[in-house]
Amino acid sequence: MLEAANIRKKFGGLVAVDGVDLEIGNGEIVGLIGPNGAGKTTLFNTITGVLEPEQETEITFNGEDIVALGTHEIARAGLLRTFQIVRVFGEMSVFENAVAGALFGTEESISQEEAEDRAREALAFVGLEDKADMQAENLPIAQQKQLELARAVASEPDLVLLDEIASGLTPGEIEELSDTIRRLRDELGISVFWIEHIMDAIMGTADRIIVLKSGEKIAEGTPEEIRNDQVVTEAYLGAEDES
Amino acid sequence: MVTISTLAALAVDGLAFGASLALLGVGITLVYGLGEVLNLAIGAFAVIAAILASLLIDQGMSLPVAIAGGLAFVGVFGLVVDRTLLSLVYRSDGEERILIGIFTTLGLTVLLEGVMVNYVSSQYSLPLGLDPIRVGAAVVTGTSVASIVIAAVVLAVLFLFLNRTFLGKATRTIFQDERGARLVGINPRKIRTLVFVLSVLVAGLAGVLAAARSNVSVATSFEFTTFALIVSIVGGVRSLVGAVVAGLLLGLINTMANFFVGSYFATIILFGAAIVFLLFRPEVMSS
Amino acid sequence: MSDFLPGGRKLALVGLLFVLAPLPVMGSGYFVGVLSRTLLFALFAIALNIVFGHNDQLFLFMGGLGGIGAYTTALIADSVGVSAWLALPVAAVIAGLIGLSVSWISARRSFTVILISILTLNLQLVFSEAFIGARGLTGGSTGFPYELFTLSGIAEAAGVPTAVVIYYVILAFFLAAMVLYIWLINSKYGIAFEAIREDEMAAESIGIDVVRYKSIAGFIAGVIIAIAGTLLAREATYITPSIFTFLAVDVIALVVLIVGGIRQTYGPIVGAVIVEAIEAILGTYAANWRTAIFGALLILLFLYFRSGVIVKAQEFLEDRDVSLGGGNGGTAAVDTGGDG
Repeated sequence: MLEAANIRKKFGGLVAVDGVDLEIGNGEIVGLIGPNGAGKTTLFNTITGVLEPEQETEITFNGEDIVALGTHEIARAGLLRTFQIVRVFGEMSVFENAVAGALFGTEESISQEEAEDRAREALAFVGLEDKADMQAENLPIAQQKQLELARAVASEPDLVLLDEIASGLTPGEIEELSDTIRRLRDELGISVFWIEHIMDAIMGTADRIIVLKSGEKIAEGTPEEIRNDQVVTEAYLGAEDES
Repeated sequence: MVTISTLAALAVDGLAFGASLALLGVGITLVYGLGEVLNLAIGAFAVIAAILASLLIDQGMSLPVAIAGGLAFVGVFGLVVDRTLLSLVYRSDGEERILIGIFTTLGLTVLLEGVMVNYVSSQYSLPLGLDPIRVGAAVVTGTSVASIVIAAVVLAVLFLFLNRTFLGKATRTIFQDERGARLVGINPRKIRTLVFVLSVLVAGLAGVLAAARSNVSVATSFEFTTFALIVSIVGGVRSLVGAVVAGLLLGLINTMANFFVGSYFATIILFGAAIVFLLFRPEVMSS
Repeated sequence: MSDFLPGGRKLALVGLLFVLAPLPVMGSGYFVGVLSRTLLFALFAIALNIVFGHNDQLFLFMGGLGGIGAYTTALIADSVGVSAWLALPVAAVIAGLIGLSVSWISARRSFTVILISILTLNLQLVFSEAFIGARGLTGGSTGFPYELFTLSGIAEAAGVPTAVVIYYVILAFFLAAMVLYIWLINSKYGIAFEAIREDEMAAESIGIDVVRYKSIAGFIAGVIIAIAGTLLAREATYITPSIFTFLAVDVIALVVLIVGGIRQTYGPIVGAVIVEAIEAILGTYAANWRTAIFGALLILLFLYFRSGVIVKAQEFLEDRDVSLGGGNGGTAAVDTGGDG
């Protein structure tokens, strides 16, 4: 589904992402972990067209080259994302947020009624259907994050990139969220690429984990393999003081 | 054919006009750099200083006293504006502050123009009464030379102040890093007041120099403001040196264009230059 | 009707009110002129509401675009020898394309609101300068009589002064612009505008083409402004560059929009009625202080009254348990002053 080779992104002299290869298959939940400053969010921004990658970068999505596409075109192609710091449209209602997601996130244009149907389904999926008429900025953070997810889901994407969606949540909320993410795959067939700091959440949910450090991929494997990987342990211990 | 002596005279006149532009640009840059308020009323301050000085001369005062009086009034008025209007603007920050800054200073310039038109509606000038100066074959006006010299001295003093004194260094610290400045115990608000008053004094001087060379009226104030904006756009809104260079350059170009293609095209060239710079180097206004 | 146009009945009511408005003052050319100007500045404010209120693009060259509309209409009608009715759409599209270009460039280059305002202010000055300078085309600062659209025939047939016919023409354009606005804000465009205004990055991330929507807003605003500018000259029956200066158009349109309330469907017309009433009173008692008072208004309104009359009135009535049909036209929630 998503195939990328040699993703590189420099800021001036600083190499933030340094030749990362990755592949996300149909129906996979892939975790992306790494110490602070490893380049995880930069990697997301590069994939979604927010940042322009270096020349040698190749990224294809469903077989289509997306390197030169704008963020909105990539979204329409079925690759949606959420943000590290939640970015719902605060002055709109919860329902309008989801409608906006449904209305603009597809290649073919859909009617208002169709968009509203999809929005209702997406809100029901994350459990926000009773909050539909609330103004989005009045939701607690945990629910704003669910709304951001619903907004992405409403466009019926193939792949969603989640950027630390579990951070700032209580253990109970994390449990619920992990369950939602599994259902995303199982019920809606949406693949997930997920940056997370909270290890319990991601280790229990992901099929496969990629570890990034200083812009480079240092390990990849099942959660079990990653947990026992000497290199990964060292990377985290070494970075402990910074975070 | 245009003789060398005409060109030399044009160049001096151009630099003299450029000196006023440079002062106006510096006025904009100082305030924007410190508090992200784009002072769209700067031309009104320039015009007030010039007209007041001219009126004081009519009252029988000598030229230097009248100019000092005009500038002093503008300085005090600037202080009042800073403590009242700008205090309200500084309550907000970021994009919001920039927007409120645009609207309040725009409103202020309209308000000042509207008030002044009722009292001082004719043309005013401040002839310095200097004789033309002969340099080889070229004859240049004494007023133009004096304008250049005065502007150069004032700018030099200003730069010395910013580079050598504690207050100046504190100002530059805030230019670069407002939070850092606060940490080392500098109160940005007080510095902003000082700098705003400085900026309107510099603008007032620009107005006085402009009035020494040609007529000034209330309607000139918006023209001054737009010239100041163009200078900051071309020079970079946070660069004082850039403002000076851009001011001189635009003054030269404008005066030459005025002579060769007429004033209508000259003005369009000036605005055109600003638009081109905005389109190709928009970072000058944001960085 | 109301399915296609939410709040259509309310608009019909407002329309009816303005259809009847000239009747008591039919004999007075002065009052018909005030009514016409009210609607014209409401038109300018509708354009500003779309492009600035909903899209954060502060267009400060409304005077210039209005002038482009008026002069181009006259030039086309004159040189091609066609009716001004045919020339006006062409001129409007030209102004629309100018608005579109400015928006397109600004959006492509991620200009902040301050950059757009300075860019358009400079364009305003170029246009003003060009209207004065291009004497061969515009008659310079002395201008020329502007009596296009052959309305005097209709006026004679109907037995009313030409100014009254002009008023109804303006009213028709005003109502058309209101219909367009209400439809726009309640459509897909309204949702896109609101998303873009709140968070451009998030809007892009869900598939909204920010550049495209901002350009569309710039085009629509340009078209409406050109029409308003042309009718402004027609109402004055004489065109000069002084009609289209920054002070004469932009400052007034800004005050109108802010008084009425940004992003309020009826903000432009409510604001225009108030501003024209102030103008009329000032014209009678303190004509010399007109400019000063509008300057002061601009400052005070923006510092203390940014939500506008409609919102303030609603708050006032709600406090007293009186409900007023929502004047808010669509997805846009009421912003009372950002997050400052």
